[in-house]
Amino acid sequence: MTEGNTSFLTGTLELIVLQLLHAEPTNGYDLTLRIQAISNDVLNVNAGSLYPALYRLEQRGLLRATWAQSGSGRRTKVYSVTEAGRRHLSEQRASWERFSGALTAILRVT
Amino acid sequence: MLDRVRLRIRSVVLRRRLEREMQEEMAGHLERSTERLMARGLSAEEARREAVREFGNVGYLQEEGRLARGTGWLDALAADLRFALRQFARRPWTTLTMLGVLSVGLCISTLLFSYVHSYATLPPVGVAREDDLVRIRGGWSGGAEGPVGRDFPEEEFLEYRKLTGPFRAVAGWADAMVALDAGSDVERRGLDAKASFVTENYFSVLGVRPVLGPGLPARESGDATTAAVAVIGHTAWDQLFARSPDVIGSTVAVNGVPVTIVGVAPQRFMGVGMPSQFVLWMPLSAQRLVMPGPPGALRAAARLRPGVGAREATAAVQVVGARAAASGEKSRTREATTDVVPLLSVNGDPGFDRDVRLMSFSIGFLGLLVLLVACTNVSALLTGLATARRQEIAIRLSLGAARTRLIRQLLTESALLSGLAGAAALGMVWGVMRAVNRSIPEMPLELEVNRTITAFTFGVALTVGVLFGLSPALHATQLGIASALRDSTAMIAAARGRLQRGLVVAQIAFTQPLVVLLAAVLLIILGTYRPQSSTEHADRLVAVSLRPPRPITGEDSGPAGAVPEREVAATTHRLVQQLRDTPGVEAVVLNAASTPPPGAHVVYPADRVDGVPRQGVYLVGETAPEGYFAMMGIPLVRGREFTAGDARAGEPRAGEVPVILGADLARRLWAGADPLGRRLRPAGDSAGAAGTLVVVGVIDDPRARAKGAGEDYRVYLPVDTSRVSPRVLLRTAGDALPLLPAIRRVVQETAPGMAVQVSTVAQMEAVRMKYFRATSGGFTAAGLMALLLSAIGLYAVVAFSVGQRTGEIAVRIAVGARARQIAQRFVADGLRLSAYGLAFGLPASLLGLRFLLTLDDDIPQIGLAPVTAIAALGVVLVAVAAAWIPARRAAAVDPAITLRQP
Repeated sequence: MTEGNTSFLTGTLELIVLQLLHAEPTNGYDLTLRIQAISNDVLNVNAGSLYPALYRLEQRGLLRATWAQSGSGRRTKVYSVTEAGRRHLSEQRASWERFSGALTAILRVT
Repeated sequence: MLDRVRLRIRSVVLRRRLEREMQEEMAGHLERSTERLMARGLSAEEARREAVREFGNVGYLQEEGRLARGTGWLDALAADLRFALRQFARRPWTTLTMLGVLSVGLCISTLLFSYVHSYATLPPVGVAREDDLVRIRGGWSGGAEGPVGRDFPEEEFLEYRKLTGPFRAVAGWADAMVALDAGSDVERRGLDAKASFVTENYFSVLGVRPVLGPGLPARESGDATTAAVAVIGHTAWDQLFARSPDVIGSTVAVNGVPVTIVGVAPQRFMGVGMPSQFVLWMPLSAQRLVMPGPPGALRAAARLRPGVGAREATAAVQVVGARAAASGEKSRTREATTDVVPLLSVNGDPGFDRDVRLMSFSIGFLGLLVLLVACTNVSALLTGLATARRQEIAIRLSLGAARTRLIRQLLTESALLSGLAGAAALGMVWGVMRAVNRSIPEMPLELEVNRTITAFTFGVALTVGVLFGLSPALHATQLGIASALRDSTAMIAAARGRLQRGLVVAQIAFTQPLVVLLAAVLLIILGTYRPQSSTEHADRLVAVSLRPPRPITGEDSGPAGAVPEREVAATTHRLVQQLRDTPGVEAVVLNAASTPPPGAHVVYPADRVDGVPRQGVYLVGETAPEGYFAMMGIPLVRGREFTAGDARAGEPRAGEVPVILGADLARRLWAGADPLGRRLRPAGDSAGAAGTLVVVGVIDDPRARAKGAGEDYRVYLPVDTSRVSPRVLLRTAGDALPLLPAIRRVVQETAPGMAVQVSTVAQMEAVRMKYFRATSGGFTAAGLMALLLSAIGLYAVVAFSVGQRTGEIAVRIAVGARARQIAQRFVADGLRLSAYGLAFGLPASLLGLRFLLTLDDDIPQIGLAPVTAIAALGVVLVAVAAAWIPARRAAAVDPAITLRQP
């Protein structure tokens, strides 16, 4: 995680996790790789932030975890978004879009 | 919301599994990172190291994960508990002392509570505990002594049975004392038993089922022959029939009438009302068959209809009760009342509520006192412990432990301690109750460890654990880190000690009234039950008493016995004749000793002797039948015994009454002059209207000096023929025991249909002595326990103070202080604390004692001041002893060793 993205990441990690898991349920390791890949290596989430976030979301009932066999035969814990998680995601996404739209508008002021 | 709760519960319940899964998940992550890095060309070891670096601190992350799951507190609690157990293991003796003190305190207060609880809330033993089971209760209000019970005449009871609106069923019963013959041999005949004549639905309303046999007929028939059946109590089945199943269908005699046994009641069920060793239940119509005289009045229990409350039912019965009262007894001074209350074992009397309030208050107060004493003790010990751990706490604070975390830890310790004490106390309570229920089978209360009692014990235990653990915990963590680490022990000891000393003062203040009250109760028992000094003939004297059948009523002034008094007197006189002719019997007299007609009053000698100051004496009267002194072996030193001519009928209002008194009283009143023919006049009766006592005889009897305070004298008066009680006293030539069966047989033949009691005076004294020993032993134990508890507290304080000031003591000894002086200082310290405690405790004891003495008029009045003073002295002596032991240790400090230590 580079210095520039830290402050953005703290508030948005839950949004990122929910969005990506909504797109496709997966395990914690693959989730870190996917965040890195999709954000073109801009967002580098380390395990220290990801796992507590996953547990918090699970505890709040927004994620559900099941154990599954991965392609390599390894037992992994796969997270998927629950119904409550979907609702929460759409709320958060709407508020983020409002916020980022406003921010973009401000940054365009010359 | 529900989902969140479910997840929360899951995270607690499945804590171990989730923990394992978390570790597995993180390990998997590391493994895959390692593989990825190895694929990039790193060596296995480098890849592993890099993966761990990328991942971060695994232990920390796991902790974060636990916090995220919300189960961190549980781990902290487990850690606190483990830590607490380690602390206990490090100080096993202190821990055991605290456990002992606390559990004894809890045990006593739980026992007191459960007694009050059973007394105030439970139905009679064995009766169903169902909310719709009620008592229809009659009473008289407006009398001088508050509300008293009232039984229902049959017509009134039948009116209640017609109230089908509020009641599903109404059952009634009339109790009587009867004579039971359970077999042909002497020992099983003429037994005293209680018979309940009951309606046919009695057992079903009370929810009681016979354990053996079909029980009473379900339908009441007017036919007298089918009514002669009985269900017998479990104790009777056990003691008279050795629990034989063949008892069903066999015949016993009740007041001489043959009755067939049709059932055995469950163990410990003794009906409603007065308990008795042997109980029988018979149909209501059997009353006419076995009881002489008119049928007895009834008491009633009922089942409410669903949805009907006691209030509505009361309204319904009041209408009936008022109508019945209007047609029945007319009384200007009192008014008949009727109400419906839950069927409890003790609320048969309308005065019950007041009694329960009084009892709950006094017993609750006692329990609270015991508990407070135990708690202050434990708190003092905990303060000592927390202070001893001051450095450990300071180090942990300096390492960054939060103060709340440390307080939580210390509280966990005290809560764990009190939880363990609660469990131990419950065990003790269970044991005591078992012993009580076993040794007193007639116990009218159900004592048991139930949910309420368990909740009470642990509730109180945890409350006191937290409350009394809180102050030491706050105290111990309050100090600045720097000062705790830097200061010499002596300086802090002063600050710490204040709290602890305050606790001990409080404790002595509590113990003092406790000891005083127990001493007072003990003295009262000594005064009331002190066994009469036995005559040398106790094993040759036999007391015989007849018990004619009589109804038991709930009223104070019930109808007279079912057998006319004249008939009883005639039987008694006949019995005296019969016994005189019995071989082995030397002498027989009517024994009226238990009815002292003149009561007790102050008399003054009417004719004085020069040189003796005019003084009144307090007399206790007793009747002496003809030939009494000769038979008791009491020597007559002057004058004569009573003769037939001295007997009187009714209370003498004027004239002269012959009296026989003891030689010591005669000497006191008239010095060496001849007492014969001298007179005693009641105080305040100078005109002589109330009759004068004339001395006709003087005996030399240690018993003539009455019990209690030194000013009471026993005098003997002639028999009052209008009040012959069916008792006979006889003396045998040799040991009376082998003759008892023969005597019993004579009595049974002379007085058929009456219960008979025959025992030697020695046996009676032994029984009385046994009760006396048990009761006084119990009270002595309780008093000693209270003293021991406060001694432990005081010991803890002084020992703690000695431990804290070892350095100071060493310096004092090094500069020449003598061991004796050192020890004296600490003992004086302990004494000062006791003095403060007594300053609070003494007024409280006097108030408590005053209250105790107003509880009952029959309590012999004991001096307040001496009892209090003696108890205070006892407390001080124990305090000195408790302080002396650690003080001696202080005196034994060796400065050469102590001062060398850091």
